Amino acid sequence: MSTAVIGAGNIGKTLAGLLSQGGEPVVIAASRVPTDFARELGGAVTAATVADAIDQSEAVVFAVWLDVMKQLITEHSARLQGKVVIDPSNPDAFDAAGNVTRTLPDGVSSGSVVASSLPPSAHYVKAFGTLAATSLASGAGRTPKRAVLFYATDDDIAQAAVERLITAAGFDPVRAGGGDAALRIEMLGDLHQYGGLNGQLLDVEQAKSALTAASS
Amino acid sequence: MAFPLQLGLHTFGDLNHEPDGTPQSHAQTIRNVVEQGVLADEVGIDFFGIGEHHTDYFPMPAGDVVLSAIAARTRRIHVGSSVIVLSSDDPVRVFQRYSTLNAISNGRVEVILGRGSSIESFPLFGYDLADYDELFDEKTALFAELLKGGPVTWQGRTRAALRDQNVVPHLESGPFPTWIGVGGNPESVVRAARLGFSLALAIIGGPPERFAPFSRLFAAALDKFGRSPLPVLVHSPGHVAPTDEEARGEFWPRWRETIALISEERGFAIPTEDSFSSEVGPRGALYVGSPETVAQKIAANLRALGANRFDLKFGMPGLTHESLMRNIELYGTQVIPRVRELAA
Repeated sequence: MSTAVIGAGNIGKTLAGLLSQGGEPVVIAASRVPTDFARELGGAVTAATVADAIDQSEAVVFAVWLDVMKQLITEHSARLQGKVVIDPSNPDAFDAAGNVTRTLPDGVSSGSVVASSLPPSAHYVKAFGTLAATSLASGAGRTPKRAVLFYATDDDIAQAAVERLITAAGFDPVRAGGGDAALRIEMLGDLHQYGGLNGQLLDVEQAKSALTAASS
Repeated sequence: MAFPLQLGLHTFGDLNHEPDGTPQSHAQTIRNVVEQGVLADEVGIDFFGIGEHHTDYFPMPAGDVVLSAIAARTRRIHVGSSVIVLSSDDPVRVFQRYSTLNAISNGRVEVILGRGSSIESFPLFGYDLADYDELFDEKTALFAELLKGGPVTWQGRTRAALRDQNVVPHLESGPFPTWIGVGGNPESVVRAARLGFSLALAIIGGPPERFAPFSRLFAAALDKFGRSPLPVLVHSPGHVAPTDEEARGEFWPRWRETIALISEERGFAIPTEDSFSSEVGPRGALYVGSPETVAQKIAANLRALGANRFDLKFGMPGLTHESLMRNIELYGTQVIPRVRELAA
């Protein structure tokens, strides 16, 4: 079974490429079927409509803005039953001065907004949104110590799926906590590259000490 | 290691060619598989499995019939499906066929159940792919009931209900080992744990260690359902020859042709020489090389995946029967003893 990547923006394209290089069949979808892009990445990536991409996959990554994701989840709710839903979203936007601002009230994660809109049988995990697309591309397969991608979930099926995909993409997976830890790995959170980590990519040891240091 | 180390073989009845490249008939290919199974027993391989397929290049829809011929000519080796597509079959008939094979073989049957990674059996037998999940969910549950022995009462949407039904032939000494084959679906891992089936991980591309979370999920799920630990098996394709060069030279053109054939229906990437090199390297999913290369890779990945059994999917459409016989002999006489040494 494939992994669906919904969205052919920076994160979507980068992630589709990394997963396919890691041996995972990927189907990429966007508002216009991204056929050219799939061809560019080679045979392991196919393009489809959002509906078909979800139907062909066991895991679905919504690499789109939060508002778009909410719409898509409502529209495709029945299709998402039983699927692993991976949410890289960040509740952020640029203000008039070009600074990053949060679009949700303090203390409300975009993860909590997304998770509560899914059908109950879906397996929700927050992941793949902790690095900028450029760092995701350049940090993959780092040697000698792989870089870490944090994820957050309360669901053991989602955990197994996302650990497999993070490993395939060329990173080491580290669980930041349950769904309530989403806030920590979203933008401006203490475990986000553009939050407490101040631009750094961590290895497993560093990630584990960051995790305990900040939560103790 | 909690379970004994075991090493087996799987085939899909890959169509054999003559050394000059002429395709052999389906019938000859099937007779060759019988000889391959007999040799596997002679060289000390633990399991010989046949995977259900319905194509010209894998003409193998009735593996249980072929396995019964192998069972009749062997004494020690375990035989079974690898996999049988339970979703498009009748669990009662599957149980009856393999329970019969278990009788013929004196209790040497193991069954690996599949949801249908190859889906050609769905239209052939009139099943709708829209029911993919429901078919497998119901049928695995019914199969678990049948394995308990005794009259079966069952009701569902995918076959006629059963009420206190006596299903024969009865098992002689308890249920035979049953596995659920898992490609990428973590829900199937939990399903296996819930029903008390062992876990067979099919890893056919990319770094094998990324499936370690599936073994961990399996152990955690067994624990949650109050079950004892169960074994984990890894299935991957490969080819063994005396040297790495010979193995790669024989396997590569056949691999490229076969994957190109099935890429459209299953979304696989058509391999390039680069992608092939990386798949046969230490971080890829293909076990192609000399006995030493293949043994090292098996030992390393069993360790990484917390698995106790490795089953090599040998053969590829277009390879000769002679090359497959040499592969089996090297696997039994050199790869297996070396893996045991490395794992000790």
